[in-house]
Amino acid sequence: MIKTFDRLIEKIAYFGLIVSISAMLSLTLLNIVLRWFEISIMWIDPLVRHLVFLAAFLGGCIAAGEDQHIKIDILSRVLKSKKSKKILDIFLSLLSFVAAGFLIYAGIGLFNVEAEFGKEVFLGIHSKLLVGIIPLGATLMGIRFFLRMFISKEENS
Amino acid sequence: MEALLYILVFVLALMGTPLFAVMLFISVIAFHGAEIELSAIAIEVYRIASSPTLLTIPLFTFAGYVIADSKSPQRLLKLTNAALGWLPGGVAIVSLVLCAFFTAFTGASGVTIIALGGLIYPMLIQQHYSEKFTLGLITTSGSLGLLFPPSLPIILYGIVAKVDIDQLFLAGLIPGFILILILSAYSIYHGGNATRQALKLSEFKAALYEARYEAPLPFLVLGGIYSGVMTPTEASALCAGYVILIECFLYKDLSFSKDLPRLIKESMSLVGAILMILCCALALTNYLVDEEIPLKMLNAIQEVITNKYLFLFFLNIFLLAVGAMMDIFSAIIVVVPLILPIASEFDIHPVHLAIIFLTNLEIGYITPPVGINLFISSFRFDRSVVELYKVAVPYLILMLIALIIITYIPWLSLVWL
Repeated sequence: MIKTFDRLIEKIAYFGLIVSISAMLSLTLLNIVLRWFEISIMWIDPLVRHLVFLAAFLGGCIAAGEDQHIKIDILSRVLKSKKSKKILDIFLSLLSFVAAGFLIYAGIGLFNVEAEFGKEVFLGIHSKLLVGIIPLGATLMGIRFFLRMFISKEENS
Repeated sequence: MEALLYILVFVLALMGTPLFAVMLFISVIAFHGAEIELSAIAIEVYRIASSPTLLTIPLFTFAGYVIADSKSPQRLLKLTNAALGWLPGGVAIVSLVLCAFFTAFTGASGVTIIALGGLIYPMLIQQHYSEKFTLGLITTSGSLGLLFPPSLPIILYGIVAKVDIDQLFLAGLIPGFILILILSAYSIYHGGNATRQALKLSEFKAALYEARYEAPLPFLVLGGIYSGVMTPTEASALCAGYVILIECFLYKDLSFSKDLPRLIKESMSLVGAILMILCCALALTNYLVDEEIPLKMLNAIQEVITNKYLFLFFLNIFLLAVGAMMDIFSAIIVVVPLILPIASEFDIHPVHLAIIFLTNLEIGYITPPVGINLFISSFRFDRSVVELYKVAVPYLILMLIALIIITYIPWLSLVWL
């Protein structure tokens, strides 16, 4: 059950990444081609930058499940027994989950501010939706950190 | 109380807490202490979405992963071997050049050792190079092309320090070649027992024909940017598009529908990990700058160090220590905003500072105890890390000589500007 849910979150992030990367690549290439004909589409640049922003969180979500977030990895190399490594892994996943929680909290705060004072930025997209990438992405990441506590490292990788 | 919390977070970092979480915890403590709403952290995180060169990070990284996963390493190995294998120490020099090319495209993420180690190791051993020399060479070469465009650390440095990426790309060329030259000289010295092969023009032509699509890649990227035809962002899109075209449709090494989605996932996992630290560190570094921490550090430093050259000396020692403890991406994100204003007070050009910084961190990859290349080689070649500490020493000394040259002759980095 836990593993199935984890795989579902991973699939959402995976699918989101494929869409984002394909869109950012094709839109930027389109922009280059259009420039030869002296045509410029103003919304491509901000859209692409926000796709990268979204991809950062989705990539972070993938990295969370595969224990690929960058860290100073000294203690786990020193620890010898499997059990102590497992306890450390659960503890670090818990801390990462808490960090994601702070990010969700901060992101919702900003989302509310934008909902009240924000405006449409490009392509009719409201700024609250753009800053909403933070709580959304942090939630996906946070769920995977939470689930990691119950899924052993070996199983996951 | 606040100080205790900072110490606790520091301990958690040493225990292996992901660095993005560490950055967030410190930001939360600092913002809470200063009675600033936590939503301000989200504002700082969101600022990254306005960075104009942000797109270069995912696209160049993705292109690098595609190249590394194709048969490109074999083709380029054949080509460099045919072109340089006749030199004394030739096969070792081939390895250095090839690794530099791959590191530049894969962003010094360890992919070079994994992708090329298995090809280069047997080749060097077969040519009678000692095992110690071979292991050291591959371990060092894993980060050798870091100063060459379009390496990910250069791009990240440009974004964090707000320095033009195209200037940084040019500035790294001569220092990057100096590192290769010094290591090549060592290879020639060490290659006394190695067999040399004759230069065969027909072999070179055949290898060049085989690698005809990927060999021009560095020239396309650099030429595109410096002829003014493309911005670095556009160059990254063209590079990624071109690499997909050649590897999936011309060489047919990779499947468009099966391999590319997997490579998107693998490369974006690294990009996500880097960008999460960048996002979360922005809040912290801006807070530190607002609190004038660099200025306070500068005042303290100026009491002890009054001379530019002495400052550069201590900067190198500090950065070597940083490089040996932290990975390159977090070091750039955390340390650069702090040292940038200090270095500018000592009249050090920001572009020269970038090259000094990146060279130090390049050396950090092979510096014990936690230089990441040592661990990757240990894993790849099934050797103890302690054994790799030993084989890395001569290379470490050579790289330090190169660092001194790069540090004290700014012209090498600034000649193109």
